[in-house]
Amino acid sequence: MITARSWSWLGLCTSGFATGIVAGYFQMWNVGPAMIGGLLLVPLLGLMRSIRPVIGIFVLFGVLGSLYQWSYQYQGPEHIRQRRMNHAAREVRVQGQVASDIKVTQMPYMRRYSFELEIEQLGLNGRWRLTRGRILVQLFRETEIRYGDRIETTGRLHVPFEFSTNPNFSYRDFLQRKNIHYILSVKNNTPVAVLEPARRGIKSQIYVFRKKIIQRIDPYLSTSELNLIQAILLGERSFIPRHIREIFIRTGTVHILAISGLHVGMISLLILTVLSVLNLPRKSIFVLSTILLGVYIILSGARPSVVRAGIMYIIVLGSHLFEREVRQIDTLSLAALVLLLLNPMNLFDIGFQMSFVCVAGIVVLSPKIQWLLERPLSRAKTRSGFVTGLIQSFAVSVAVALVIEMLVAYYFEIFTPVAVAANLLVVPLAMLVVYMGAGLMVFAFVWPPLAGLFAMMVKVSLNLMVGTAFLFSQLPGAYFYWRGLTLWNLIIYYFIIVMIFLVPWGIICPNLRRTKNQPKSGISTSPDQPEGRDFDNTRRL
Amino acid sequence: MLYLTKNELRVVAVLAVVICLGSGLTYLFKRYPYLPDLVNLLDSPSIYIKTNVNSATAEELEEVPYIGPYTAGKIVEFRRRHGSISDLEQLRSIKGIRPTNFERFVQYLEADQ
Repeated sequence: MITARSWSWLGLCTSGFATGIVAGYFQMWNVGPAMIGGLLLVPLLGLMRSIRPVIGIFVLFGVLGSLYQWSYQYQGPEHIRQRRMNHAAREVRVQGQVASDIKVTQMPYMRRYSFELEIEQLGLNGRWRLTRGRILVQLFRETEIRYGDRIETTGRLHVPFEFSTNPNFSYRDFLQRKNIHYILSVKNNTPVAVLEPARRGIKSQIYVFRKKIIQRIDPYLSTSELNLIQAILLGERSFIPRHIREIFIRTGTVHILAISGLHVGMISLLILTVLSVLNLPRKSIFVLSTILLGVYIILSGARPSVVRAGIMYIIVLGSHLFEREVRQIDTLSLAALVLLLLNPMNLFDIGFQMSFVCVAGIVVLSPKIQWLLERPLSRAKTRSGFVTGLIQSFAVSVAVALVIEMLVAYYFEIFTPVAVAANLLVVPLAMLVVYMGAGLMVFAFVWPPLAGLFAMMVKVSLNLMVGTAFLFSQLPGAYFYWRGLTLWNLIIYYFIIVMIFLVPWGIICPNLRRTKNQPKSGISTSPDQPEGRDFDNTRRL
Repeated sequence: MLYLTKNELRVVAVLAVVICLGSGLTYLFKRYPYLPDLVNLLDSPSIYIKTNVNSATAEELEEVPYIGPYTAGKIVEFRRRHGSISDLEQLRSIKGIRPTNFERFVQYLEADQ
């Protein structure tokens, strides 16, 4: 019998909330699917009394998600979107506050400087109008503007261009999900006046600190090395040489070049190790590491994947401190819920989807794959730690590949069978790059002679990492392009994955798992023990 | 007696390894001036992933950096009219491909027949 006890309540609430956001975004509430779903739900509730609360909570959070999405997207009459601008570019004057760090993008013939502007007034047809909303400002010359400055400038306001040939990616939709509906292109000879300089806030100071870091490590590395280390450690990806990006895309290791949970995990481990050397009390270590990690998250651009990893890290560390047991799936669900509350449109962000799908794969699938791999070795009396580590790494790689490859094929139209093997070798090298790079950044301020030695290690490890990825990309059948994958293909694929991995393992049918696996895996028969101990990822953290 | 915790030992070991390897590498790079160029793969043309301009379809050509649907179509059209391309410099003569763009994408192509 299906029991409500086997569900992760947080997971259930989050998935309900996310479903509600999707329904609200595509305005599904007033069409047939919702009615059909409701009709199906009635007999289902009658048949399965035990899961009645499960469905009830799912539906309740679905409605909440939908309402939240609707209220978040609602824009008042003063919003720039309501100004009904023509799609043709118009010359306008704007006043507003810089709401993001200045992003520099290397274009084929020039550099583009762009930033988000929170509009206060819009000068249209010779008169100012009170306006709210956010636009993206693009300049093609170097600027001294900083985050938080109040500025005034003139430019052509237009809707974002669609430049991607991939039908599954729209730049316009990407910006709209960040609540940006217009781009202001400022001419080279047009002045950008600072009406009021930025106040000294934490965020602006962190952005200034980032610039200082880059200036300090610049003398130790070549341009290409600096560009790569900036991407891997500070999230500045626009300067990665194109041919290097191609190598990583074609080997399924491009996640290394963007700051993700892997990087945050490594940085937090580094912070913890260094703080523990200082012999501080546990509570101080928790508080200090949380602050330092928060600084790092802002420093690296606070992308959803980074924030996700940061939240999970804080929960896990907090559970240690307060001696509470947490389930990884609950931690992941809570992180998702927080991110969706911050911005429900995060759900449609590719980075958000990849990050959560990836971690869900690691949390849910990898223990099962590991168990399958270890079965032939279960009779062996002794097993070296190296073999166990290798099996573990392989299981994680396979789990990630299973859940992420199709998503990558859907969005980027490339399939990389070599990814499992490539990640096994490239990820450890990337870890070396991160640790050595972090050492370089610290010692460039503290003790420059030692920074030189760290820089030497960075040089060698970076080249080794790129060389290894290149060798994998040269293998026959390493990658192939896969076009025409639809959303339905994706849904069917994930449905099959869930059916294969979750049904027989006790998430949906806990009795099946208990009777078959319990004696071998040594799971307690006591009803007081949480169910699915090994395979439901309730390992003590 | 000096007692170090596990984490303290870890930090000391990492610093020791960095100092030893870093110093060794610095010495080698100074002693053998050709070594930095040998190690520097990031700027080396040998790691460019090349696409065969004769066998690639228009869609495959579009995957090459700096080649869009327009340029890919022009190359395929050129190939159809003049046969296989023996020298990449032939692409310069295609009307509509700017020299600056040619310089950018040519490093990702090869002309093996």
